[in-house]
Amino acid sequence: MIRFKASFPMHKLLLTTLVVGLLSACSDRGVVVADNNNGDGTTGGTTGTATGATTGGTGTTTGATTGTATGNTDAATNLDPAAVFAARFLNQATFGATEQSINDFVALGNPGAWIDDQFSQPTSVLSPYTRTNSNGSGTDALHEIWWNNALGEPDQLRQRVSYALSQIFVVSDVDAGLANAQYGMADYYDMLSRNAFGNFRTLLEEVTLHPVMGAYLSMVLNERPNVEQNIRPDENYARELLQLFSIGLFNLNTRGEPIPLGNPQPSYSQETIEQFARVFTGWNYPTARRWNDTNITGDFFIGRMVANEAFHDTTSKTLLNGAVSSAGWTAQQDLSFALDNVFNHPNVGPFISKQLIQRLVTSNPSPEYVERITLTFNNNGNGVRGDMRSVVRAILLDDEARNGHLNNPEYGKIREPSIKLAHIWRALDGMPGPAANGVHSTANFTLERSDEMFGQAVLQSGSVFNFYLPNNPLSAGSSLVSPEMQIMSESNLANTHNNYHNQVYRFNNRSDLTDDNPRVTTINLEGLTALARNPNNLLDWYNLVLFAGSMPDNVRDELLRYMRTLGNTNEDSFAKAQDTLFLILVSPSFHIQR
Amino acid sequence: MRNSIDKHRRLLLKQLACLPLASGVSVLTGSKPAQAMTCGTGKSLVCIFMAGGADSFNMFVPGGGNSFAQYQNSRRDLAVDEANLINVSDAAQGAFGFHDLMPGFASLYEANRMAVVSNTGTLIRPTTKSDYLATNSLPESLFAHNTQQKLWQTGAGIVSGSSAFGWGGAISEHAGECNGNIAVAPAFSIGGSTDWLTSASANYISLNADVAVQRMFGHANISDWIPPRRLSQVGRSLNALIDVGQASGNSQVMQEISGAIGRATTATASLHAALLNNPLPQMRYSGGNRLARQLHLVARLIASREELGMEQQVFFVRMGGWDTHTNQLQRQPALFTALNEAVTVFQATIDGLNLAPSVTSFTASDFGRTLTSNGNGTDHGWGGHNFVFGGAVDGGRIVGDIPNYAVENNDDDAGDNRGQFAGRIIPQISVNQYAATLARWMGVSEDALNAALPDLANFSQRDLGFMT
Repeated sequence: MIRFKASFPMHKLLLTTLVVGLLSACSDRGVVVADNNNGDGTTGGTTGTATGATTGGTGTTTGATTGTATGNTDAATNLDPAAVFAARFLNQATFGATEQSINDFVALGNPGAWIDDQFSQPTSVLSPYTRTNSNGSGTDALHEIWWNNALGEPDQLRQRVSYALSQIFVVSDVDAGLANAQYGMADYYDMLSRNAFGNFRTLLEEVTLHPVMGAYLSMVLNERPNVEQNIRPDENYARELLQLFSIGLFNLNTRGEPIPLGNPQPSYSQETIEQFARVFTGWNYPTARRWNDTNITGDFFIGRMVANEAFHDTTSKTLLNGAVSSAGWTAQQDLSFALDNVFNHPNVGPFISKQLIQRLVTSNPSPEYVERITLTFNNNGNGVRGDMRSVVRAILLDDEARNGHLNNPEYGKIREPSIKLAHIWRALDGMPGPAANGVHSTANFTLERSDEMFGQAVLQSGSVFNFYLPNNPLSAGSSLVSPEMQIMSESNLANTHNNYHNQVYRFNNRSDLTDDNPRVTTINLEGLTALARNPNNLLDWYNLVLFAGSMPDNVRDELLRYMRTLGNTNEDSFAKAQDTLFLILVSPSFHIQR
Repeated sequence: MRNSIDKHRRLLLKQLACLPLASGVSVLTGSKPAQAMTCGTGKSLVCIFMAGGADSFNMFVPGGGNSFAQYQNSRRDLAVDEANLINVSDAAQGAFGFHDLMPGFASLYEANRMAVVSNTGTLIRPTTKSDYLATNSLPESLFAHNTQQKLWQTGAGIVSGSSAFGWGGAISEHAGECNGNIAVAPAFSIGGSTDWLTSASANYISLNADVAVQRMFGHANISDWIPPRRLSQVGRSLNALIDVGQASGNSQVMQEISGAIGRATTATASLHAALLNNPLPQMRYSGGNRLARQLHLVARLIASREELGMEQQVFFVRMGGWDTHTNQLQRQPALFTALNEAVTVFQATIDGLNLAPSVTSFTASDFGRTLTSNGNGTDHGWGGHNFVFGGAVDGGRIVGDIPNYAVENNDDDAGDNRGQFAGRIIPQISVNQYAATLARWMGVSEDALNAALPDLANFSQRDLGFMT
């Protein structure tokens, strides 16, 4: 069978991928890995439409070398390289690979075509459900629909990018104020989703003028100065726009390195902040009837803020790189000029590109990788700057995204806890509990409180600095960064561990939930139990679907050793599936996306 | 805990711990012979970090006459009304007032158990207005939250400099040496990840006060759900997977996450038992007071000090919400009330445990806020007041000079070179001095201090003298 490891010539990949499709059609759970010696009755296949892993947009990527051609004799190398290629890609571009998504990807045969298909998917949104299921103050509805979308809706790439953007253009309802603005929070997130594949300049303006951002960083109702009263404009939005949303603290080269190397220079001064603060004056909630309207009605957290020229500072401002605005401009004219000024700063490409790479692919991209994406940001090939489709495509198809793991042991990232949970539920048919009304919940925490469990929940960062910093060191003094490591606290690790314990042992498809919690999402262990009749098949499944081929050999050996402590009855198969799944979900290696 | 000192050294340290405390270290200079490390018999240090930049200028206000008028003129509609001050005095600097929503602070001050450390902030060396205008040796990225938090917590002047480690981390290393070879790390953050506790050799335990500390199921034969015949083998494999992840040939990221999981397993097992024995239900506070909840967990860990086998402990708690760019007058009452309640009930709990002399707490923040208003809030400033309290604090006084609040000809103001008043106050006391004073109370040696705080050498007063 072609599942056995080998150095695959490219022309063999066709055959390999066919088996995947056939197997998934034959087995209970569409098992992607072949059975070594019993069970699924597959003998290979000769029909189908797969074309195997193909080159990506850079012309340099192939799936042929992915993970398996190492001469390693471990059974892990049974995996089909095209399927591993698919799984790795999907873990970067979706909320986690599943058998189905791996099969579909392989059948499509081309990551570029997969991305094109994703660009054409309708945008999943939070607002309609939130408006129906929340009175505006209950925060649970937004989380319910966010999770349902992440788990089930087809526009996975857009959602993954939106989630990344929500961690750059941070707003949060954990502090007072926005918790009661759930329709606005949903509208803000939907705005990010709608613009995820648009142009960065448009995104920047939509973010700047959204009333939720206006409230979060206090640009709303910001007034021109009053010299007699010692009143200056509010510097909050001006500062975070520059520091966090666009250019960062230091001048950068196209590789994302602070320059001059070794003696980096600030990209702006306090004076610059004060000038931008004057730009962002005169904006009010969309439905306000007058400045300082103390009884605003209607959807005042939806849409765009509106200008009130009487409160706008019309003096000339000196912005980045010495650009000077004209005195007498309106609030919108000033804002457009200032956002153009920011958007065209050379830092934006490397600053934003590197963070998107960190969210999707790897914590420590090479400067060359950052530079390639920067150049795409700066010019998509048709003279357009800030084209997000091109940026996202370039990030995912880059040779370092596809093959960087082959020669760099530090490649990859700690998985974001919420994406890890989504992956588990997606891969193991997570179903809302019988009394949950279609709403997902973990065993130990409802989803709007998942930040208490693992330090992350959508739109619930503790501050505008997100759940973690892009430059959080992997360990004290390390030159490597790991943003996600910042939330790997003892509490979070212990709470997550215990949640997965309960998920696997209490909330699976065999559980009787009548005496337990019937609102908790259950996972399905039947497929794993069937595979567990041959431990290597079970491990191959884990290795492909959960690890994208990166399960370390010593982990595999330990799990095999564990399974040998059990017998060969059907109950033992269930036990093997259950125990190994628990061991994997809480294991160090499953924390890492390679 | 990755503490590399050997057994012989630990024995020596334990003996050192029995020596009398170095006393009389207040207001002293480099001329004093180098102080060796000391441990004492139980000490806990608590950092209360007010994240976002706390407006301490409205917590502690000049109490009368010209100073109050200048403060009022700078602050305008954001000024605290004179009628809303609880009057206290400083022997040298006259009348002051605590905001009347902070009566617990005033009481601690009046009882000489709290000192106000005036106008403290990030400084590389003593800095004047002309230094500021000429950008001479200024801390990096002034007025930016995360950078200033990092500089406050590391004592460094630049983020990328050699001092990547926190000064709390230096104290933790010392505490770890005092504690000897025990399972639990010497430091705890109840406020999330923090630079303050980072160290090359001592880890800190990060706990969430909103969730009870749980043992990790499957380990140590603990699970109501894994069938007994499988439980011990599952536990064995859990440990084996952590061990193989920590193997030296693995990537750093694999080793680090494995180490974190291993430490979580060990720490939660020890802490779970100790905390169960020390619930401290006598510490009561409003349900929504998250700072108080964090300090409650701190109090329980302090009460567990002996049970955990710890000589010394270092704590970090964090209170958010201080970035009052807008609606400051509406937001400050809740912030001040919560801070006051948390500090008051925490100190009362420590007093009730008869542990006051061995527990010192202090505040810190990203920066102070502007004296000037942006209409209905304040922006990012620089220097600010901080508060140190506990049974070992030489309190009832102001440490350092209260800054000038005048809007004109103000040499304390980091305004622009056109003479425009900004109300960003240039600190007169460096974080380095504040840190050193607290670290010396914990018994950190002068050598360790110099290594942790290289810029301390730029200040003549190494010890601010607020610890007895």
